[in-house]
Amino acid sequence: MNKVLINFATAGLFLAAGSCHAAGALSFSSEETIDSSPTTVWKYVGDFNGLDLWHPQVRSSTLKGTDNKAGAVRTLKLSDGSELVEKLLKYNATETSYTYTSMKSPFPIKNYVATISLSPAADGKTLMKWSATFDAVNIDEDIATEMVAIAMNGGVYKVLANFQKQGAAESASEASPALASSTEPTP
Amino acid sequence: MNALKLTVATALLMVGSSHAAGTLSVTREVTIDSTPATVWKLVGNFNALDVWHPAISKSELKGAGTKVGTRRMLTLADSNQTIIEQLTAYDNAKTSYSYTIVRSPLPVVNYNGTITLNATPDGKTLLKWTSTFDAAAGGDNAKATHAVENLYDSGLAKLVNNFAKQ
Repeated sequence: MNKVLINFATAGLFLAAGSCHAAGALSFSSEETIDSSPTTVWKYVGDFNGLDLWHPQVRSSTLKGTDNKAGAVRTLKLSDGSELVEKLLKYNATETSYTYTSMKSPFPIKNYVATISLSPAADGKTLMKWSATFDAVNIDEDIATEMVAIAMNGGVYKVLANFQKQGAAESASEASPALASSTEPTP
Repeated sequence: MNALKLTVATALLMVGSSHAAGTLSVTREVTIDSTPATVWKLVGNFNALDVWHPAISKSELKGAGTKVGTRRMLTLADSNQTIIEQLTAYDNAKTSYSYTIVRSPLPVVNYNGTITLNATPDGKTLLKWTSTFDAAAGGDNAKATHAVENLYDSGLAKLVNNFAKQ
């Protein structure tokens, strides 16, 4: 938490310095090593219209356009009834990565651009990274970033838990509150 | 080689002629807290058992995703042994598919399985996983049935949990 707050301060300095950003001034990244191959994990997280499979807050995802083609638009309904509309900007199955932007969201955030990517890690495992840049709208930057952090960590942790070997389940639940994450100012 | 295959096939037919379907069966039904449309994204992928079944660490496909005749090779997480299964029917509209076991370390033969999703009145999903089979030669019926039951129960427990509201 301290680390998060310190990094918010840094992000604030960037803004104060008057830098002109095309991308959002705030950023967050959630990373975990998943105990399965990128090929297998991609079946779970690689469908742009499949967030309702692996994100604990997403109840349904419906698609307009061609799935996994840039320009596709997904509408996500959350458990609390609110709705997000997001558009696919880039999709690369070979590199197991996709990038999207938010068109409509109940969160006080704008200029949100996020990327989900999988890359091979040691022992045949997968490094999953979900990162985003964004701006806060009429709200403290730390609160905005915390909202993004909670959403991303929730998704990444569920993927982590899904592929946890059964014998390792206990240590996983112990480790969950300390889910690795970081916030950094956008360069 | 062809002659040999033919002979084996004929022998199997003769042995199996008394019953087209297996004499044993297992059926499991669970309610999943999500719509069939959402659950089908996961369950309807013939090549995704490595995502939702805890006993399967890898699934590789031979053939086109959901075309009849497509085979999946499953790797068991515990033993690294493999199971080869073949898609025998796939109905996207009815959210259902059927498959048969081509080769496996399980003590069963003549296995035909079907997974079907149906909507419940309150918008959830009723998943039915059912099969008929026989015990492998020299095996006993109880053991064969138990092996299939274990496979279904462990898979469905994880699947229900995946969609459980927090």
